[in-house]
Amino acid sequence: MDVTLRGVARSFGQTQVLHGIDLHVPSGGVTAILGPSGCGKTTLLRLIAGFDAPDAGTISIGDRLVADAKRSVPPEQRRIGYVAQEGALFPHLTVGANIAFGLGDGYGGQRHADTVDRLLEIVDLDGHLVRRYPHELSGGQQQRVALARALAVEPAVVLLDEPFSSLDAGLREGTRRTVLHALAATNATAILVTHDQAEALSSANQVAVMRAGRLIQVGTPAAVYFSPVDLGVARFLGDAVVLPGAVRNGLAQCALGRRPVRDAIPDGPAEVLIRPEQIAVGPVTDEGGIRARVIHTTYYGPYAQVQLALDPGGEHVTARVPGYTAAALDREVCLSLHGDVAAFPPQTRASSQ
Amino acid sequence: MKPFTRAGQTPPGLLLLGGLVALVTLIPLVFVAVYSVLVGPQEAYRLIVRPRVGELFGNTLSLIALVLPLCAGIGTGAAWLVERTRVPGRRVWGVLLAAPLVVPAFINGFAWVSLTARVEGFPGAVMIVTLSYFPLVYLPVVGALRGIDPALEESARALGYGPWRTLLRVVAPQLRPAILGGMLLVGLHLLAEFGALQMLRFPTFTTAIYDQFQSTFNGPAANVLAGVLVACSLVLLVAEAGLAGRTRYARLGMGVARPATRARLGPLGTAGALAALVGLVVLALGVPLGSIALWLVTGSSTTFAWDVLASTTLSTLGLGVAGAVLTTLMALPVAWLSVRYRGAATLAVERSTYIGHALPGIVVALALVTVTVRFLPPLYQTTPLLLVAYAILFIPLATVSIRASLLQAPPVLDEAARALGSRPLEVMRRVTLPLIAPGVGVGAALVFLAIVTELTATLLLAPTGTDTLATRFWSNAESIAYGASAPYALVMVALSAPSTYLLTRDIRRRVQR
Repeated sequence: MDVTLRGVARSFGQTQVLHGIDLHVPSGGVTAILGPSGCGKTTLLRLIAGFDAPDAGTISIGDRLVADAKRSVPPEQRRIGYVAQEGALFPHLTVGANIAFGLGDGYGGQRHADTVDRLLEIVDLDGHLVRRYPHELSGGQQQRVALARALAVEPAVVLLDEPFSSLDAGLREGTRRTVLHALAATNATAILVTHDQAEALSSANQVAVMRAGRLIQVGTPAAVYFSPVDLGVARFLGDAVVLPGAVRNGLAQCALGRRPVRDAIPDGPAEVLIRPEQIAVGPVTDEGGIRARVIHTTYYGPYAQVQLALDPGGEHVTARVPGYTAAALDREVCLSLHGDVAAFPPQTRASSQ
Repeated sequence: MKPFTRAGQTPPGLLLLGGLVALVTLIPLVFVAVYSVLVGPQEAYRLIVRPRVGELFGNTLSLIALVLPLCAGIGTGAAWLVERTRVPGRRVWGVLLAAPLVVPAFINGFAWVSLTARVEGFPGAVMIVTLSYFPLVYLPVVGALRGIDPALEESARALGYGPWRTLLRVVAPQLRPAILGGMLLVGLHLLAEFGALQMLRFPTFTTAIYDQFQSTFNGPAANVLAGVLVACSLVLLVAEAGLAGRTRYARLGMGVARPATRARLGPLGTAGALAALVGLVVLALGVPLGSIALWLVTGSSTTFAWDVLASTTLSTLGLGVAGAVLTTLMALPVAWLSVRYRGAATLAVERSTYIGHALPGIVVALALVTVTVRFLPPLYQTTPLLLVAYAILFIPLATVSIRASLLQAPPVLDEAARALGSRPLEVMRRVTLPLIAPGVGVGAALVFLAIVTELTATLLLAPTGTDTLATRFWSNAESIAYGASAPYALVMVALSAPSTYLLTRDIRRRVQR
């Protein structure tokens, strides 16, 4: 079911944590709320869940108004699924009883054995775990059980509060894939709160970028990554190379050459945003091209970050190249720019964080 | 939809409940304060500034001045031997050094004085209360020693410090809060101690108040003495609160990954350490238990009234159960408020309930006697009033335990249950109560065990005809019927064992890593 927020605001004492949030979460699919810690994203999720109530604005789940400035539907009547940061499994109940918790007072989950089995299968857990207690599970397994428990009540919307951030890197990717798969399999509407831009971009159909209590941009992962509304969002979503330049007739000119601009801005001086992977690094050839000197290479395995100084000019840029090519690079290289770029009027730099 | 109680807002009903509990626990303090004002400065001066009061003050102070450093030295030294050296039998010593808490101080006093009258007076009193109370320093220091990250000492060694310099400059400063906290606890116990000192004929404020009360009942002299005693307790309490804030935080994250390295004692050092430990345990545990055993064997067992022991035990257990239930019910809202709704008001409620525990039992009893005689005569010398006294004295034992278990049931679990469709009462029944039940149980057990060995307040407040193990023991011991006292002492020691076990459980669990 879709979720609609209109003008939602919330303050704690003197501090206003949320400023007039408007957001539409479409039915089905995952919407990621992405922002640095302290930006208010968890508060927003708690308002949707009903653990807290807004000072102003309205929240609707489907056609039903669940909260306004005066009244609030208690969480148990909202049909939500909630997956907390560290799972919040009930430590005194077995996995089976945890999953069956929302289905009524089934003792030990016996009455709901079939449902529990089906849900364990959806989250890719072995059926023999039913009798285990939460402390006997790994962090990744706990999160999967937490999702199964949330899905058991067939919620209108599943709310996930940084569900993978407490897992170590090895477990995180596998758990995330399973959780997303399970959400897709049940055709659930999900809202995922995260501070990890790679997680937001890879998990969601829609990314809502938050900063200092405001929604800055809402769009598809590709839109927020390649067409950020300002340089602050650009840098938050990934490494950015920003070069001074100018825009004329939909083309941006900078030290790396001339490329089409994705979202038209008025002609004139501009900051040109390039993602490091748009810069290809090759050997120096006679055909010319842009020459640069390698200052430093950081090798990550699948890829490498190459810091370069343009020659002539001296501007520093960073390129991301496939790892297997990194070792073969000479000190002097030739650069080429690929794909469209984004450009901003110069003053937008001020709003970056 | 309905109006929403925002997160962070304290439910008014719960706060009211907590406030009522706090008011009850504040009765003794308010009584003393109001009485001091009512009696007026001139009369108070006349009652306080007397040679007799000066002597009591001197006695109390000199006892504290000697016993506190002794307890600190013995407790810290013992903790260091057990935790940081390779002295043989560390695990056994670890248990034996906490075990003197099993013998209530008034039984310890009885055990010694029934063997030899030479322990009467100041030196004997110093020795016996030191032996009874040094574990109050030993236990926190053991905890602090375990809580120190070994990496700190290793870093000091890497920076060129030798082992002794490391002990002095790195370890000792971290032990200071634990040692001082333990010493202040000993101080509060000394101010409150009645039985042991009365037994050893060493008069302090507490014994003098009791004697005054016995002779003049509700006299102003006793009440004014109580005021001085409370003032002494408050001085210690304020100091303790200032320190405890820091120590508690320091002791929270005790999950130390590695054990610290232990000092090697040479053959001579090992022999010396063993001799000291054996001597300490024999004096603190061996003598009292041996004395009780001796009187059990030699006492005239043929004439001993076993049926009275049985009926007294039963009535004591009954009082213990009723008191534990009442105290736990009072502790629940206090613990709940302090964990879930931390704020100035809830902090005030929680702190108020700790004051009764720090006040001597004799003051609590005196306050309740005076207040009921004045305002609620039908309550005077009734079981409910005795139970209220127990609640005032022991509510922190329950609060601390319930608090700890509530921290294991964080609000996020409530929220998860709410999201799954459970209403607040259902959340309580299905999630919160099952999770805190063990902690509530332990708290109630601690209160129960404290009640069954309580002497002072029971002597003053027990309804006529109601006897507990402690009061029976006391009247037998006072009339020098040592043989008849011993069985009561044995039952009380046996009943204290589980509470000592519960109180030291965390510490022992970490020994067995």
